[in-house]
Amino acid sequence: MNAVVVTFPGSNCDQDCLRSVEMAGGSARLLWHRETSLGDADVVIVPGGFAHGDYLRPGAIARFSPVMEAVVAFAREGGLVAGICNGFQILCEAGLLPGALLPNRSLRFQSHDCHLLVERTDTPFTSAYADMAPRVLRMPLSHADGAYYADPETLAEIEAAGQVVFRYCDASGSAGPEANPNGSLNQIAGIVNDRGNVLGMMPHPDRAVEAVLGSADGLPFFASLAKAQRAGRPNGRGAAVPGGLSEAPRAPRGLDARADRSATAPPPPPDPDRPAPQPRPGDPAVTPEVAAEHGLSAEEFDRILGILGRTPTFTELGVFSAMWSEHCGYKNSKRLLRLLPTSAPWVIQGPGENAGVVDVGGGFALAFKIESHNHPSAVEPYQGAATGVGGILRDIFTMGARPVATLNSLRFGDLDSARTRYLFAGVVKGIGDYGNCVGIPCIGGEVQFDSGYADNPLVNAMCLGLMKRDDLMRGAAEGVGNTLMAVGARTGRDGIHGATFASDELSADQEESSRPQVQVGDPFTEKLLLEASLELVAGGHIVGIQDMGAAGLTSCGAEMAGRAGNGVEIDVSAAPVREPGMTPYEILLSESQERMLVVARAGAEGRVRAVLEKWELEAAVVGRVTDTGAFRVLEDGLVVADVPALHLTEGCPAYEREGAESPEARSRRTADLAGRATPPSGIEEAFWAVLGSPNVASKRWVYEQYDTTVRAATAERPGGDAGVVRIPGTHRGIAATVDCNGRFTFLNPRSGAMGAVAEAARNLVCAGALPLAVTNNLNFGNPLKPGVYWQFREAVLGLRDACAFFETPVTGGNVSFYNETDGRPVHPTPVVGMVGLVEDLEAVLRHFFQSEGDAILLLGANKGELGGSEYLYRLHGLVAGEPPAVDLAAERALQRAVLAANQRRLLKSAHDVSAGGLAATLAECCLRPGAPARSLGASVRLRQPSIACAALLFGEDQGRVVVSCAPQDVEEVQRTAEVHGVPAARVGIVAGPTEPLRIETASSSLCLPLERVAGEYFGAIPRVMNQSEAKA
Amino acid sequence: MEIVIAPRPGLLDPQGKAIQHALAALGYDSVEEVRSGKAIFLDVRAPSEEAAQDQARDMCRKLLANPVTEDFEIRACGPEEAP
Repeated sequence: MNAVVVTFPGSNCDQDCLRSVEMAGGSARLLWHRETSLGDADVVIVPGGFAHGDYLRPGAIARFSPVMEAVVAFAREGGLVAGICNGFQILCEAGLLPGALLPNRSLRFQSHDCHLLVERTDTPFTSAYADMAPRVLRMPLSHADGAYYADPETLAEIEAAGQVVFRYCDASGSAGPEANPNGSLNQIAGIVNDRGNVLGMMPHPDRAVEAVLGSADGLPFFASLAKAQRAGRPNGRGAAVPGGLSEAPRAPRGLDARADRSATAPPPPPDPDRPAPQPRPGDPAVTPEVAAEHGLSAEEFDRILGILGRTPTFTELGVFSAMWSEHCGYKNSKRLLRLLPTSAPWVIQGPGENAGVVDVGGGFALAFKIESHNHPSAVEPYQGAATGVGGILRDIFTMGARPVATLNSLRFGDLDSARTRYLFAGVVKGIGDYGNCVGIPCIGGEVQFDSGYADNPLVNAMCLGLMKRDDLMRGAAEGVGNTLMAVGARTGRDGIHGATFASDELSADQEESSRPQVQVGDPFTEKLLLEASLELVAGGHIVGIQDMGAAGLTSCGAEMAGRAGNGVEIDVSAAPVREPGMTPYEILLSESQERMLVVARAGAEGRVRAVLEKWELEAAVVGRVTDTGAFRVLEDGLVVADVPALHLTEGCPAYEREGAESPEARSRRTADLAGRATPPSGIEEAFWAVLGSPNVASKRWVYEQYDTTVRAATAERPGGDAGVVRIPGTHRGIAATVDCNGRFTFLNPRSGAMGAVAEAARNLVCAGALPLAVTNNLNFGNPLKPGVYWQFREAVLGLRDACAFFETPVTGGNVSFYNETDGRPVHPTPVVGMVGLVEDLEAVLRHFFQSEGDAILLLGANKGELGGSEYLYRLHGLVAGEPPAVDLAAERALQRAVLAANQRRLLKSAHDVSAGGLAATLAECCLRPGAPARSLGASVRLRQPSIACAALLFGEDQGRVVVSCAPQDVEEVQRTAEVHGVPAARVGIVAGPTEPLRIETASSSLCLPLERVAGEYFGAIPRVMNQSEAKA
Repeated sequence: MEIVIAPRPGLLDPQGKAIQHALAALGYDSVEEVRSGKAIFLDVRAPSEEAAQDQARDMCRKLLANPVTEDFEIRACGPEEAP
């Protein structure tokens, strides 16, 4: 087999198909869509993705790509052509297959496993399934437009001719209408043309070629193709590089040593040959009032006058105000952030770059970072969240790393508000549409609903990227004389002063007036930019690269100059713009999306341009690296700004403010909870209320809108304790999680922040991963308020203590202040994103019980702490009490005990106890997310008469993990726990699939039918959202 | 020119159904049917109205609409002098 896999701009699954063919014993190469010949190919695969962004209609533009003429001719001659997902859509548009693919019945993107019945095994695509019985396959589907449609006559013809090859069915192989995931006519999942040589299917066999990633049922599909062509010509061609990480040789790069420098360095002496910038005709005059409108205080304006020795031009004022905004300058946070531990032997890059980087062994490095897009999402949830994902992806691939996974941490008000449901649905769709189109799997996240976030949602997006260690790229303008090039999208007037906007509170009437500051994301351009950037890095043509994110060209130019200790000179007249007549002020401060600034080696500009042209993007020379240390801007040869770059970056004023716990927070924390341990209408009702709370219930409605399996490397999808992706070409993996309980941090910011770190680490070890490092997203209100500043300081101190204790240094992150609406700050929310290493993917632990008869153990001690619990919120309407205490030593011992037991393969499952307490955790252990019908019951006995029943069942005490193991391993697990000083009580036994979950305490006995447990747990959020969709 | 592309009658149109549902919830229960499609606006250089129509029809058949699932309608917005 000698296959070609066609790559269109926007194809995401080309590498997955390539690898699948190779695993099936064939050979394959990629073919760029502009090629006109298939060469000696004997099979053509048209892969999944979003070719040409799926704009107009999926596949409509791709069918006119030059390569398609050859593909059509090849098919007409009887050549084998297979289209998967987007490939199916393209083949239908090209007229090679009958029918069309319509939007899913749900109107949402759907990403989950499905079952397929193989109806024909006498085709060249399915012959290897002939000996299988029953012929039921399980593999992921992942699409927005997958409902197969053909007019009635065509449909009848297809059925009569036996052209339906795959049909959706349930696990038992029954193809009833309830097994139809997307509204396809006759449950059709895959068809062939009337000659039988062209196949299209929506599900992804290319994501089901290894059991360790969930299923190997797709492998025979590729083996069939290989078998069909085995008699063909011998193949001496070398295999292409799998995995997508480029191994192309590259030229050495400049030193990235960073000059040691002080923020207080005096400005460079005036140079008589460098004329000072003059006010530009038409620009407003710069006065203290204009400076105040730019968010600069009187002292800050004086400081600028002192730095420049003159009044700034209007352009310079804009530059200072953006760079000294909270968003870029971290002026109210950076002094405290210096307290965080940032180094460890495995840390390659700590804070200060686009992303942190850690060594994950085998020559690989992991870049990762989290970032907020709270304000834009409050105003326009869809675009706000989408562009948030775009920004964090660029932070990762500008480090030279290929993004391999995303996570997100979301917070909203209570779901009973229509506004909250609108924000929630918009944010989720925005995240999904952007990440899905770029082709990065989402592997985890968290969503919290609490009135503390009403009208001010928090949207934090995290991205992980992998690279070869040597490919590390930094955002520094190295090498005097090198060339600055603007690449990607053109600069428009959108988002001017977004950074300043993000540094201000929202007011009720801002919703309308803020709209122009919200940018529109274009994930298709992002995908092209990603591929082009990685090609530039691999080719060695560039020495530095940075996203034009907040404050656009200004922050990019100034930060890159500042990091290298150099200067930059930028000619705004050379910048490609979207509309005529833009002023330097506008060009410098625009936050148009999908743009980057690269530093090209002098002389390599042509090669940079060629790479960008291949990806249908623009590149323009906009300036050069100088030795002046100045951020200098020209317009048509006239200087419009000339500012010492270091004064823009590290010279940003840093404040430490007075802080004190607000009386309101204090009274809530110290509230008397006596009597609250009695639920208003009995313990069983309390259980259903807690389980059905959207904070505890399954977030499947959310994560099924995210592509979780693209890139065919996801070993653990969302819904468990942590997500896991494979390191390409190895049996090792990266695990990641995001955690914070905003109620705990509201009640006690220090212990809440420690708890967030502890929970993140617990989540990682429960998945079988060793915690490595942290990125954090600190979401707070207005820091000028003493109560908020106190929360911030306490949270930073909590993070410091826990990260230092667990040896998980902080390698970067983001601070988002001013999260307030009409003067009300959100709950202080220091979100912890933690990454860890899985040494063997076979040892990844699941959170749910695996086999009937296994023993259930509780590691850690019950304390019955109800403060800040979901139980108090749901049953008593309270956010009150001291949140559960965090014992760092006990947490570390617990982590080590779980890792040690798993290393010896003693554990069958492990699940961290968190929201909803032990009762909700046990329910989650029973439920199997991918197949609720195969859930297992359990019998659990908790004998602790000293703790009130509700506190025992619903207290969210830290430091606990529920594990299961084979009965004969109980003693070994207990011995391992004892070695680490961790209590390990045997509390129950896993029961059969028709059994209920029974929980017995000293004072009560619950018998909870699994069907209802599953109904409440999986149904709570869809019930609210689907109802509001019908109404909206 | 304005080109209106709509799902063919009888074709399942979940978006149209959702809109109808929403309108009914707002009290507009007089709405019998909703079909949701898209509009594309083109500035076409052509010697005559008729020639422009011909061009647009060609574009619809080739690219803008999918004949399997969509109908199209071309509406001229009136001639405009080239600048």
